[in-house]
Amino acid sequence: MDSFSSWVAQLRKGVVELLVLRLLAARGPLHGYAISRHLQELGETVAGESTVYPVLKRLEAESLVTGAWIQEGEAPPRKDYEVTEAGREFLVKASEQWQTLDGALRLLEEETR
Amino acid sequence: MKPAHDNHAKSSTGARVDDYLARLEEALELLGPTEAADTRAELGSYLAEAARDGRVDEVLGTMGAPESFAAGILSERGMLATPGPLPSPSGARIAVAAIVDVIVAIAPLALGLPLAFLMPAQSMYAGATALNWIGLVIAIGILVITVGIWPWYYWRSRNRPGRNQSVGRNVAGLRTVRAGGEVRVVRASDMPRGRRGMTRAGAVIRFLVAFWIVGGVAYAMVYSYAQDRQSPPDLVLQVVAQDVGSAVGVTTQLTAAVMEAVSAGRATTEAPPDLLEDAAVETYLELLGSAIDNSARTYEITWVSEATYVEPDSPLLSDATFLVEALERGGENQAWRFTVRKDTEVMDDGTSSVTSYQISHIQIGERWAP
Repeated sequence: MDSFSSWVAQLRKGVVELLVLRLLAARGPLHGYAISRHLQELGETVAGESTVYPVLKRLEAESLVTGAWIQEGEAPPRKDYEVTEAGREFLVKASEQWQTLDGALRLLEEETR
Repeated sequence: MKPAHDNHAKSSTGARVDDYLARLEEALELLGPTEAADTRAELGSYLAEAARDGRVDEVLGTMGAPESFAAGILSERGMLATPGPLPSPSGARIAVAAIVDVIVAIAPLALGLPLAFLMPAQSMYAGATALNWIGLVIAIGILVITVGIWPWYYWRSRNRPGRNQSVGRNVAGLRTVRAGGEVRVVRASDMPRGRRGMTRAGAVIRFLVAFWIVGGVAYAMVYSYAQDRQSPPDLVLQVVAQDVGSAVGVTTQLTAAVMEAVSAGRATTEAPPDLLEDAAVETYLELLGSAIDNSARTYEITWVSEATYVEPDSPLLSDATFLVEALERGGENQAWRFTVRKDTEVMDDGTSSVTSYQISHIQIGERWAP
């Protein structure tokens, strides 16, 4: 893996966490497959299963999201996730941090023009 | 009706998904059995959704190998870091595990050797019972397992996770787990709790039950041996201990030397000095010497069996019991019983002569009933 790919992987890993929380906060309970599909619709390179799912499991382990098995009709049971109160607080702080970083980046870009 | 190749493709995909999920669950063992099984179920549901969209191959391709996908999950949880939340076990624990493993490996050998080479072998001389033969088969089985199968099983399972790990690691509270693509040894108490997997108490109970079973078989054989010899069970251990030192080789050499000396009219003390150390052998020598000049206080020789048919030019073999009792040694009465094999050569003219005597067995008892 070259330096750029490694950087993208690291960046994506941090961003996916934020994206998953924001998605769940906006759309309500979603199962893993739906979360992946939504994120893939945002852009092909945003996140794949190999990134989203491990992050989702960590968020659950850290109680930022909570999962519950749902059985609907004859379909196989699936696990729906939703953001917890701790997850919402985390999302607010993370969004602020992201805005700060984004602002700093934009500022530097303007200075270099 | 759907074409056959479509059904075949579906079943092939299903088998591939099942295999993927099984490998994933195994690779996630570090999460504990509950969460690993939960994740497997969730991924199964995930892939079922993907199958409905016709994206199974695509999703599996994105996930990568189950071991690397599991490694991603464990890495996110910080479980693959070194040192991570699951510290490596202490050297003391690993030492305990190694010691128990060595004991477990040696125990069958320690039990099997005397059972295989002493009791059944000697029973052949004195008349084996059905239980003796069963014991022989069991003993040989123990030896085969010890010499062959056990080391093979131990080697094969040394790095296998879960229930196949060694007894020592279970007793020491260690677990061999697969974490992603690697195998690690961790403390069981550090792992998440779950429904499945062997607890340390379970391992200890298994260990004790296994010892109880093997010990029970051994005791039953020893008891049977004692019954056959009409001797108290506690004396049988003395017998076995003495047999180890004297019955193999020593007694046969001794008897040959003594009988040669007796037949030549020489003193019995001409037998090799290193063969005279054992008290029973010394007594035997005394008795042989006393028998020559009729000075023995109490002794009896009983031929218990004689061959009635023999192939021409073959020696006649018969067992005899040489019973000696009430010899005062250190103020205590003692009794010795020697089972003697008598080799008789049959001549062409029909006459016969004893060619050699060999002690095949020696037993000690407080008093031997005639």
